Amino acid sequence: MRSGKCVQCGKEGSLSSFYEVNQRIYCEPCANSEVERLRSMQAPISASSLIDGTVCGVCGADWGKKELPRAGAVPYCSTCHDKIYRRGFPGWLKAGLAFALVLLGFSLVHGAKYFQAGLAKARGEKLIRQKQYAAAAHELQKVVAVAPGCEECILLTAKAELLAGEPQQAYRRVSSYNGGKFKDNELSKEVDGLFERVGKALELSKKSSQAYEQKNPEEALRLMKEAQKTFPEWPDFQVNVAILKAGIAFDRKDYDGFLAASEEGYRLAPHQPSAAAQVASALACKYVATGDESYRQRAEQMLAKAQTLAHASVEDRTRIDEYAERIHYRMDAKVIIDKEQYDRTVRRTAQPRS
Amino acid sequence: MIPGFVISIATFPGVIIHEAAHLLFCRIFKLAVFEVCFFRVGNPAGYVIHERTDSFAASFFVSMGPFMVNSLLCVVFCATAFLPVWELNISDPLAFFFYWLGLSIGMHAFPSTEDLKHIWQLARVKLSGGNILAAASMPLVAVLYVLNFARVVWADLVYGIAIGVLGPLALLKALA
Repeated sequence: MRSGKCVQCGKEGSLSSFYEVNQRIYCEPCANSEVERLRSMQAPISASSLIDGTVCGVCGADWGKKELPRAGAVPYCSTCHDKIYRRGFPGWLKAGLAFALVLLGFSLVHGAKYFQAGLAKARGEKLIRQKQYAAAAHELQKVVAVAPGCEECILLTAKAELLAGEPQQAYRRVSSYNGGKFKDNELSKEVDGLFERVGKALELSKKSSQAYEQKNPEEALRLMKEAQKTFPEWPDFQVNVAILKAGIAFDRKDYDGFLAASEEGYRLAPHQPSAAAQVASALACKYVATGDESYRQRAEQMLAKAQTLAHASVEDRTRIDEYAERIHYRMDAKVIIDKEQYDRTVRRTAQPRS
Repeated sequence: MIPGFVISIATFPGVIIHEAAHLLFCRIFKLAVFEVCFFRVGNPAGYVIHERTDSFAASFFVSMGPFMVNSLLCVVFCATAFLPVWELNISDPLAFFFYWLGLSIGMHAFPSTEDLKHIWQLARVKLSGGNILAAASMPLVAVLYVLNFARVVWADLVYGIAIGVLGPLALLKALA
């Protein structure tokens, strides 16, 4: 330990009990009065406590005359080295952090379904923005299964279902939540608006079907166009317009118009077997009208495509098989007749195949 | 006006993590640590007394350690709670616990004014020597300095909510 002596009062003691004021050594009471004196004179002051480099600043051990290494200004002995340089985290902190992490792990496992649902919701919203409504509805249906009380999720799902052409499902979904009552916000207003437009469009579509059954295809087409205008987001109406146009062109024996409208229908609904079969029918008409073999080949190709598309559904398969039979008859007999005539003349006289 | 010690008690995990982050970076940069208080009812609610250094990188990371560690843990814990509470409207008690934990930690992310002053002064000195980290740190330090004063109007809570909600939301959108 080093010793020091106050320049003011002459008191002696350990160096670390003294202070340096403007490069002169004082004991604590004298250092205080010197600082006060300098302050009253408004003189510059530089004051600090003295550090004895032979006394450990951490544990206070006196190392005699040995000068200790310093951490910054603080001398430390070899026994305190680890204490200051390798200060560990206390056990309770490690235990607390471990507990929080275990809880976090449990929560992640427990919340995995929320994570999946959250991802599905984000994907669903993205798909809606990309106008892929059927895929969006599929994603959002997963969300409402996990979060049946999430109003926004229900409305988003209903919106996707409406736009994907599943109005009944959308209606069941919104009416089964809180008696169909939702908070008044932008999304609920949007879904309300969609329901209103879909309702009107379906009504017009129904009237169009009735007009078609009453042998008024022109009126059926007008009503279907109206339905399409009322709910343009729904591609089915557009497909129906193309199908009706094709039917009208066939009745007028306008086979170019029939082919153009059928191709438009197929472009809009490339996965519908009936759309592919209608193109085959139009091509068969063109073959009969022109005798051009290339139309026959294309008709066969489109029929094969329709049969492939119908593969998954028994109902579709039956319908396409019946259609194929008439198209083949048309091309073989080179006679263009409609279904009613065919049923009346050909089917009545045909023998069942063995 | 809620007294500071009440806020510290209510959000004590954040104080502990803040001091633990200082200690962690002192260990990483091999600085001597003379005293640590992880939590106490008083002002400051916790502290770490460590060796001063001339290295700007060490000073920067020791002072800003809590900002990085607390912000990261806030996002991690809030992310667990974010989906059920915020996105799916599910009342899960565990989720609310994690929201409290995450926000408590996020609220104590800001470094102290003293730490910021020290980095600012050191950055000005090191800037003349062409220290890139010093130059890059100055805007962040300035923003945090202002935000530290805005704590009287709950800037620390707003920051916690912002990163606890926006962080997981951004993560979710990126994953979707």
